[in-house]
Amino acid sequence: MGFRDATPSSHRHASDASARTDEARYDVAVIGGGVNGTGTARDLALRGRKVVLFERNDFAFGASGNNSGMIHGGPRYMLKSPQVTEESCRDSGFIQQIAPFLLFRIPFIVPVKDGPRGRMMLELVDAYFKAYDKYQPLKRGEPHTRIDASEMARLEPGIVGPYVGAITFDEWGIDGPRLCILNAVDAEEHGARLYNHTTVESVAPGDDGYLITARDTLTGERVRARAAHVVNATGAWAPVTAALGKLPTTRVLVRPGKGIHVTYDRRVSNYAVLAEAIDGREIFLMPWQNMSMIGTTDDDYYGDLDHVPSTSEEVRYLVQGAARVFPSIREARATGTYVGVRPTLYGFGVMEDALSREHAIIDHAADGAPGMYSMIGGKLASYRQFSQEMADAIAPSVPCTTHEKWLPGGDRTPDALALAETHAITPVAARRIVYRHGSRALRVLARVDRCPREREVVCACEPVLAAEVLHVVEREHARTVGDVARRTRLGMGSCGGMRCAARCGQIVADALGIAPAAGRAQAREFLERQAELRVVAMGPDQARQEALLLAQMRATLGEAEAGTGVDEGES
Amino acid sequence: MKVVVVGSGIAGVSAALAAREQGAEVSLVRGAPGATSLSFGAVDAAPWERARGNEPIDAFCTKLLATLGFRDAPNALLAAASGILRGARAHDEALLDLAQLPAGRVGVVPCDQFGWDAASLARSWNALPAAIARNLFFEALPGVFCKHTDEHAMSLAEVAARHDDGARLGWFADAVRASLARSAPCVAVITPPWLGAERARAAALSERVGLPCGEAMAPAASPSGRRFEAARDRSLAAAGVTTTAGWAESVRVAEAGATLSLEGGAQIACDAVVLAIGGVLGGGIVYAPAEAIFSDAMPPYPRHGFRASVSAGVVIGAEGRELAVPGSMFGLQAEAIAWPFARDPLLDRVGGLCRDSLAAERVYIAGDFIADRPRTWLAAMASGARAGKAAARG
Repeated sequence: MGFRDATPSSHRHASDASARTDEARYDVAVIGGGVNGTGTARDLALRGRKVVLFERNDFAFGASGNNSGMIHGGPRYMLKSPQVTEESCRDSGFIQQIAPFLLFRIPFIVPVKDGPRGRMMLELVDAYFKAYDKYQPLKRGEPHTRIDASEMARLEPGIVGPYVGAITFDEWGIDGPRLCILNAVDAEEHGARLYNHTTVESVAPGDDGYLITARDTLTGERVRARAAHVVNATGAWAPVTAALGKLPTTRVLVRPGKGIHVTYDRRVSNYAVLAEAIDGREIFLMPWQNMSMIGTTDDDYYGDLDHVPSTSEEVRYLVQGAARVFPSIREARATGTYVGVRPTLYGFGVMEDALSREHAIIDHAADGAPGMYSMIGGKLASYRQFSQEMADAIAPSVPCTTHEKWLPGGDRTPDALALAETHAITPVAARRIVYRHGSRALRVLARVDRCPREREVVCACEPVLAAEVLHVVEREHARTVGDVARRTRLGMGSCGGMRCAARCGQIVADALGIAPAAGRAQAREFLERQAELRVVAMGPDQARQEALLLAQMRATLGEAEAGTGVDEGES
Repeated sequence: MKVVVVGSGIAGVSAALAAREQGAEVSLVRGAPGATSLSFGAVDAAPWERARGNEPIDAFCTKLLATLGFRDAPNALLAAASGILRGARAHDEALLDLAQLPAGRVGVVPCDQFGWDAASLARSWNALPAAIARNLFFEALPGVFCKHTDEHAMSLAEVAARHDDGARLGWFADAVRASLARSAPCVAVITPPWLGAERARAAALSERVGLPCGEAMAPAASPSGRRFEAARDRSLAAAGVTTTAGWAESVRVAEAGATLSLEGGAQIACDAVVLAIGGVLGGGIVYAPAEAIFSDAMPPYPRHGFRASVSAGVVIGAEGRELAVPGSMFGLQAEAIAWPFARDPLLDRVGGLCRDSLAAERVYIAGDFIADRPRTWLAAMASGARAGKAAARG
């Protein structure tokens, strides 16, 4: 690949061909802005290492931002790999300590069918969760309880059918994208340099370390940086990244497993309800933040990782399974789907579900690339542990502190109602801001005191204020409407961004000083992706909404095809 | 002749007035707000609509546009709060037509409401070739234009309703004049979608300010639809069309005539029925996938996913053909019928099949309810006029 040499900074200009040399020499370059990449960057930055992080799309763009949103212990893994369960539970406990504002309790219910062997099955499930109870204290979890059918009907009236009883237990919910962003921001505050929307194009051995060349996909600018160590934390993209470093891809094999979730406009159940899909796989219907979701599928995926589709077949598979336990889900209003690809450890001849959820660090010294590592596999719940293991390999002399130091905003959780009053915003908006930002909610809200205009509600579904949009643009590296959505859940509600995307595009363009048309293009792009993810879950209500979105795009946003609109081109 | 029109959007009104013009006795059944009530005030001719083919505008439609508070302006240029400028064939009188302005500065009224940031909009509009070519320069005006603090939390349409009050509009005009006195000379003033809910107040404001004043289009909660509804009700009453609120359920046709049944049991006897009930957006076409209807894992029989909301023997199809039963127990694949997978999605094309406007014996159809018709204002108006006329002639 032929790249230009660095242009002296005095001659730098913002044209496509310009190159920017990051003059600093880094100890470590982390490639990948998912939870393992940002977690490793944070860990190493806290250990005093100079870190640079490159992310091809946005932080939490892949599996880290499109999972079930839990740091659960994984009772499912208890039989085959109890160490995964124990590790997940212990790390979940640590995450609670460093970001208490970001966690919420999700009670689970496991209904057990009546029948010839119903009683015995209930005993077995009871015994199974008795074993899981042993891990619960590690994450401040409650021990399980066993309830009879009438109690279950009272607690979760939506479950219909002949059941002998149920088991309840609890897990912790978390906003995955926020977890990534907070790790990234903390790394930055400890000296790391972050580049999102910047794809690494080559990793070449250079004098004492590696030379990394990357390209900013939004501006076209090239970035070159030198680092002694390189960490490939690119999840399902890991083999692609390894190939850029001329490493044999057979050394970093993953088996990408695609999983989709169907989302609903509100919380439709009190408990997360376990159900079974047609093939016997375990799925669940779960209340999460201000919505409900059904998850999840697990299918081998061979397609483009940057643009993963969800299909109506996957939706039908999930709804069919969930409805057998919770029939009214068919009448609930689906708002869309989201989709991620698990970076599962490679195995051939194994069913997707049976693949190990463990993680592994591959030291590429054996491949003639000392100082280069790949992180493979892992789970959201144990990202901190995995990151620590990675950092231990690179900086063994400095102890890890990621389990004791707060993530940004973790020091205390402000009282949302009091904030709502002092800053004259709605209590719901205040609660959501506190949930996402912890004590840094005060920084977001200090903005509305300085500039009352920023009280403007940009996304009414969530809700998201202009102040928070600007905060995530200025402080959290949000560069597009999609980035803002990932950080604030703007446009993720029942309207799918119809009311807020255009306005958000204006705010982003103004804040970043880019052309207004670029902001509109971002809005259109976001709406198209949202529509793509929504239509597959489309029911009668959504059909009208899609038609409305189409009409609105035509009337006030124009269409994206080049050369059709008055709106094309800026001068 | 007695004609019953079902639907009170632009196609329904057009049909009712056209039938009335032919001397028929007309009654109109009004359901809920549909696509027209959600419209933004711009009539067709946006560059991306031009490709869909616009209907020619005849004398009847020209008159109807004026009756409904629209200005016939073949080359109008309208501003939208999404930050674009778009063309239009005609427009709601409340909107400011930039094509009518001389070169110069256009003052933008600021407000703290949802979705309206005057400085940002000015920046956005200023960057567009259409503004540059006309030498129009947008700039936010100084001052405060919301009289009461509760208005910051209101929708644009609610503030628009407040400007129906003459005294309040006078206060607003004074505020605009005071602001103009403090800023560089302007050739016009563009306001948020604020200028009246009952009628367009742009002319009254322009007169008091002494400059052309008008709205920009809002992406959501536009008062334009409300103004249409008010003008519609006035013109139907003036034309002697009786209106009934209710949901049409079915049309039964006999030798002597037709009977329209409403939800709740009421029946209206007539000679012909015009169904102007809208497409998917208006609710005339219901998307009803099999899995949403049947709670069992497998539905008892497969069907396609669309039906008319009124049972009247109208065949539902697209591209001139009846929709076929798909070879799937679960109906059509959602991703094959909806935007953005298909640029011209089935969702937008599906409707009743007809010859001219006749869809079944004594049943005429109009507007978005017709299959494959471009979903534009003028197409709906013209098809309504045709259906009304044909129904009245029998």
